Amino acid sequence: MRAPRRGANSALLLPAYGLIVVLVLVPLAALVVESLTPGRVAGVATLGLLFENYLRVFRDGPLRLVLATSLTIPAVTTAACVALGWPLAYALAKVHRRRGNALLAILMAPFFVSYLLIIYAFMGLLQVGGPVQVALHALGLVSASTTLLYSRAAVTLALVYEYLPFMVLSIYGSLERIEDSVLEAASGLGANRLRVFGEILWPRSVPGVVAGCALVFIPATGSFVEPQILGGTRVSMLGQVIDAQINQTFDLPRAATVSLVLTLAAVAGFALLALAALATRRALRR
Amino acid sequence: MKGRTMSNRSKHGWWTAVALLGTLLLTAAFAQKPTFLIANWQGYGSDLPWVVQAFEQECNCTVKQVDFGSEQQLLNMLKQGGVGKIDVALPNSTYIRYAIDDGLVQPIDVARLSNYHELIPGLTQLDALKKGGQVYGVPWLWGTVGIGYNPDLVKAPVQGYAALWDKQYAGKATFNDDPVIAVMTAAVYLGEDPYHPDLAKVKQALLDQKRLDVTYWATTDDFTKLYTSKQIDIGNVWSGLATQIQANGYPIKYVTPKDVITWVDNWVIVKNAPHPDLAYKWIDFMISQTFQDRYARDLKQQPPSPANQIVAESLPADQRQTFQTSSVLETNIPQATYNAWSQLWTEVKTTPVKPLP
Repeated sequence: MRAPRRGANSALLLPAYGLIVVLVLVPLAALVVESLTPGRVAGVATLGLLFENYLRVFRDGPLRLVLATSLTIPAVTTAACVALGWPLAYALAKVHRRRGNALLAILMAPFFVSYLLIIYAFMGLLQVGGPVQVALHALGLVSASTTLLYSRAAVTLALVYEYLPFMVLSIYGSLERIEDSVLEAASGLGANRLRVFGEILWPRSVPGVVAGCALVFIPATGSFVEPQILGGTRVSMLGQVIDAQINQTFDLPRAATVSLVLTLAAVAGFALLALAALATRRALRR
Repeated sequence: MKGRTMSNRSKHGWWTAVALLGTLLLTAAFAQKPTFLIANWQGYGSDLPWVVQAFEQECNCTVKQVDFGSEQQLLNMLKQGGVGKIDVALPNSTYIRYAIDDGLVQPIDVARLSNYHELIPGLTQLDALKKGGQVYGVPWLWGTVGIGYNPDLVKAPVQGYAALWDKQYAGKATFNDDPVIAVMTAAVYLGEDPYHPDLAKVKQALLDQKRLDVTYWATTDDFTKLYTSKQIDIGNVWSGLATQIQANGYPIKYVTPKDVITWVDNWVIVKNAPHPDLAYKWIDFMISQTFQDRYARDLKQQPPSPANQIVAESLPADQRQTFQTSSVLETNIPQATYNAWSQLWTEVKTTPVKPLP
């Protein structure tokens, strides 16, 4: 048998490349072009500078606040997902290994529920007269008419619930790959649990944590239904601005500009989170 | 061998497809019933089973409805292939102007509508329904956007829109998520001309109002949930929605301010409608006492006020509203103005404010 020729291989990959071009590069280019076309003010196209839309976005004080919220809520969500997801992934990968698959299936359950349903469920839980509010009131923590609903906390809670499985799955993937012999050797050589965590478990799970951060943080920055329904008038995220520009003011150039700004900010935010995760690895190894 | 089985199977599938298609074509050829296509909001009178049945019997046709979720969506639907397919549609008194100006609808010969003379004259005289001496829209239902509040919790007298800015309701208020209603409400509150208000003042007023709200409401469901779960005590609300909430056993007081914001929904015949004769029959049925009376009395359907004057006057006092030509009508708003208001409202919605304690 002769080894297949390189050319034939490339030809077979063409459809995949084609998909990337058609579904990723072309829409992205269209978005950039749209963001550079003159915006509309009161329905009249303004003949302005090439980057006018961007200047408008950066000069918009309230919008900068909204951008900050669009990054902080997902950052807190991601941190909470790591804090909750890591022990869970560890339990699945190393403790309940034999029942791991069944537990994993249970964990995946939220995937099969419409996210809209999850959001409305949180609304029911948190609203006045809902179980959470009633319990908090019974404990004397809040007054009869105070609720978590319509706050950043409510939005963050729902996002953590929605995105936790992504984090658990990716951490699970990297923890599962750690051979038991390595862990046994470590404890056999006298490392205590903390040291096993600091020098083996955490460092080797960092790739999973970083992948999890990408899967949680980046999509969470684009949330618009969660802040709309659970944040009320008290939480604004850029996803809502984009939604309003597309569906209410029909200002597509501005929507494209805000989308690109959000995308860049999300990638930058993710890079920071990833660097932070990598830094812990270095710090712990020392 | 395997390949052969596969090809047999796929051939089999092909023949099934041909047979199915043939059956469909035959059914279509023999069932000569025309399909009458309506564009309306979902759950807004025209898709009630008894309504569809009654009209299908009368017209010997099949009634189908395409739903839209916003007035703008209706315009888009008409522009993007709806003209020539949809027979009748229901724009409100603001949007009908854009539909007429864009040539999406056709003139209506009101002499062909036997019930037209029963309509409230103030409604049929609206400028928005006419252009160049021709009538393009037939008023169907109308309503006001007043203030709804919980009489058990709100004790101070509520009169005008100022109540929506009253700091004692901070954290217990809601406001309708609609650019025209928002700007007009703020303008009336400020004492500005609701059609040409000072937009900077309006924006500031709306931002101040936002500090009292827990959330904005957009759909019937939004408001009903907020109100019945006692998340809010007060808010601006459609008259029909207040009636519906009351009919479902939740006490609510509805107040009509002096300069109340009022809207009118109107039937239009779409340009190049495939079934113009049926369109006339449909509109005549929609404005008839038969439809208007039964619909107006079904309180759980959230009925707005009927445009048929005879029906309107026969309603019980607590449900009767009198159409005031002096009220602030949601009409005659040029497209450019609408866009500016819409932009303003988007800015208000996405500007973070500090909630009042």
